[in-house]
Amino acid sequence: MQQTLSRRSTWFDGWDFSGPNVMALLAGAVMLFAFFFLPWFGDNVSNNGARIMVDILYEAPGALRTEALIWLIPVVAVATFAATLWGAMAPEQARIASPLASLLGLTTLLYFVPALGRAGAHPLLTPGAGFWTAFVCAIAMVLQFVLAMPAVAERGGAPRKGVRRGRLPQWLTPYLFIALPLILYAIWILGPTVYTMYLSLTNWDGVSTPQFIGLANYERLFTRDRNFVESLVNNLRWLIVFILIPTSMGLGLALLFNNEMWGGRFYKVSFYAPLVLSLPVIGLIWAWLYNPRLGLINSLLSMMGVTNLPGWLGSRELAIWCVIAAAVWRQVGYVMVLYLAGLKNVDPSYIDAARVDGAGRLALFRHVVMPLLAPVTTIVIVISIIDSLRAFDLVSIMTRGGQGTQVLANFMYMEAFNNYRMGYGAAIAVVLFAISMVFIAFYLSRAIRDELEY
Amino acid sequence: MATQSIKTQPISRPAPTSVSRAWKRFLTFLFYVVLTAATLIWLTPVLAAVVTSLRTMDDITINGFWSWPREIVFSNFERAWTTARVSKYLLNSFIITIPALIGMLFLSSLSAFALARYRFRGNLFIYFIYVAGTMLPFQILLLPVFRLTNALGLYDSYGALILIHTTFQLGFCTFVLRNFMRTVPGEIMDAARVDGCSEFRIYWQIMLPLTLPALAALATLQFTWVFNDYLWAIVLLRSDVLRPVTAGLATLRGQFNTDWPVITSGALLATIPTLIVFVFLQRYFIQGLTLGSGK
Repeated sequence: MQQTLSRRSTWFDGWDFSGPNVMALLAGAVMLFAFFFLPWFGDNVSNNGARIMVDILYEAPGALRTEALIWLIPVVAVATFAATLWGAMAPEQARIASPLASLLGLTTLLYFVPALGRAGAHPLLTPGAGFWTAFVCAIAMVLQFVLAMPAVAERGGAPRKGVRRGRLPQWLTPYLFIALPLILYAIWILGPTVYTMYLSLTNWDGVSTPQFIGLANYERLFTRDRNFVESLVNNLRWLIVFILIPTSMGLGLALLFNNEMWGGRFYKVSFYAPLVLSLPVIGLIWAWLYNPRLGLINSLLSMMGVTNLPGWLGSRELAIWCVIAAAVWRQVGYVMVLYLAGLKNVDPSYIDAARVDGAGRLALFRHVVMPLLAPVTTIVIVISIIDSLRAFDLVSIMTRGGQGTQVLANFMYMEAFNNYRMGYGAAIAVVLFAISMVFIAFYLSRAIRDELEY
Repeated sequence: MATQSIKTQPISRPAPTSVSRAWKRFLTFLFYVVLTAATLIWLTPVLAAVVTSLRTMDDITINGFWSWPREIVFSNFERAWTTARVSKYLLNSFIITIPALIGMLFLSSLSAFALARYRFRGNLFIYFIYVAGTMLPFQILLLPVFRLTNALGLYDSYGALILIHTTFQLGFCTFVLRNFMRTVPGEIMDAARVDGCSEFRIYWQIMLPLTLPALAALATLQFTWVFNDYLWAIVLLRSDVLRPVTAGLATLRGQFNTDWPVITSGALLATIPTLIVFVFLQRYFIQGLTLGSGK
């Protein structure tokens, strides 16, 4: 008894199955990483595999000419990933996944063989770190199959002796799991947030070293910049419209479609379909509708005999509302979906009970349905606010911030990347962040409360 | 008042007379007419784009938008696909989206597993950092990330976009997966542990398969999010050959200034991948949307 237990709990036992899997996965991941991030030839990172592939594909002038087979690398890496994941999810498939991965590795070597031959011949094409890394990974993929065989064969055999009981200390486990994601998150998200605050106190122009200038950026922003006021007002308009219209329309539609009805699915899908369109697509389509001479709206108006046609995106008074209308069009479906999900969770017995008690439709809605939907409403409002503060794509595509449609996000982008006033842009970003933070804090405080109750 | 009294006695309601039945049928009919009209109006922008893309600009200019099309042409799609290079932009979008998806799902499932299943110092704190991060405005990250990618030599490469998408979406994915993993009963894991299963294997072979529904929903949702990103594409890329389709469309507009049929065809072509995802994985898409708000 004791014997079997101790054998079972050896560290390597858990890896018998997934050992080759993990190896293939790692090889795939590293290969993909090398392809995207490491220099394929020489030591200049801009010569990474992805870049070379694109240059070959698009026949860019001055491209490094290597084997066009280079597309094998990402395809194989992703395929290995998929095959291995499949093998790991259903352990009985591991026997198929493992040779599949090795076969893929073998295919990749096809790329390296001629590339290696040519690389030596050309002085410019000295294989770089990425090339070698991917090469090693391809070999590892082939090798893992060989390694997997004895492991699989050994499983039924006698218990292994002298295997280290390499269990890590228990307290370390969660930190090991969380380390890599958290480090990446700290470098790319948390660090930059703080760094922007520092940049907002400098006069950085994107090229020279940032120089500390105190609060000068903020002073200019709050006292002398009319664009800032305009952006702030527009964001406020956006926010108010976003809280009022999509929320009420979405709720109304959700209540309507929550009932079984003929063709309900079709209507539902139609209303949330705009959600799949990307914002640039929506911006382009709506810009075409608003076209002052030929667009759908104005041609309809002129057919109806209107002579004084509005300029829509060209008019300073209307433009911002036109942009917001396009945004609302997309948001309504989102809110509807959230409310529909919320309504699905409402216990029908509450409603039946209220009905039996003689509640009318309005009373039912006000005193039963709405309170039950309160958590969804909070989420919807928080999402609406955050989305309205993030508003960028539509303004950038439809008007580029002209015609009085400037919003904070686009204002920041233009100051930083068109006018190269990066320090000033950072100050705008910090203001935007501060406004968002109010709502984030509100949401967080609720989340924390829920969590502590849990 | 009258409706109330009816509502109170739903069972003993008198049989409807033929007049009221006819009236009711008429009302139902009217309701569907209004609803269909509203739906059509709602979809007008999309329908207008489809109609425009099938006509020539000359036709629209001469005969007006509301005239009956003189002929149906597909050349606009052809021009958008080849001349305007939408095909290449779409390929770029995939090259960026797929690694980012794999990266964010793998990394976030790791951290979600730790946050959901272990008690340790800073657990809740880290969780709330992730939650707060999901709502950050992108602008606060723009400049430092721009600088960082430059410093790493990744500016103007796919890698820059893959990294920022992976890391930014880590917050949301971790949040969703963590809450999902908490609903998995702990007995399964304890049983596995008693049997001597390593912690990593518990994550890999027990937790991940059980989390598959949430992963599928997240993958679908994140696919559309990353695919539809525009801001990072214009900030971190300079070369036209690397642009994903969203940024490519903006170029398209400059290139085909007033040729709206080509522009709308490009926009429609750009929507195809997300449309396919939407049509075939709609259930997951909706689940993904509501997962985040379920808490």
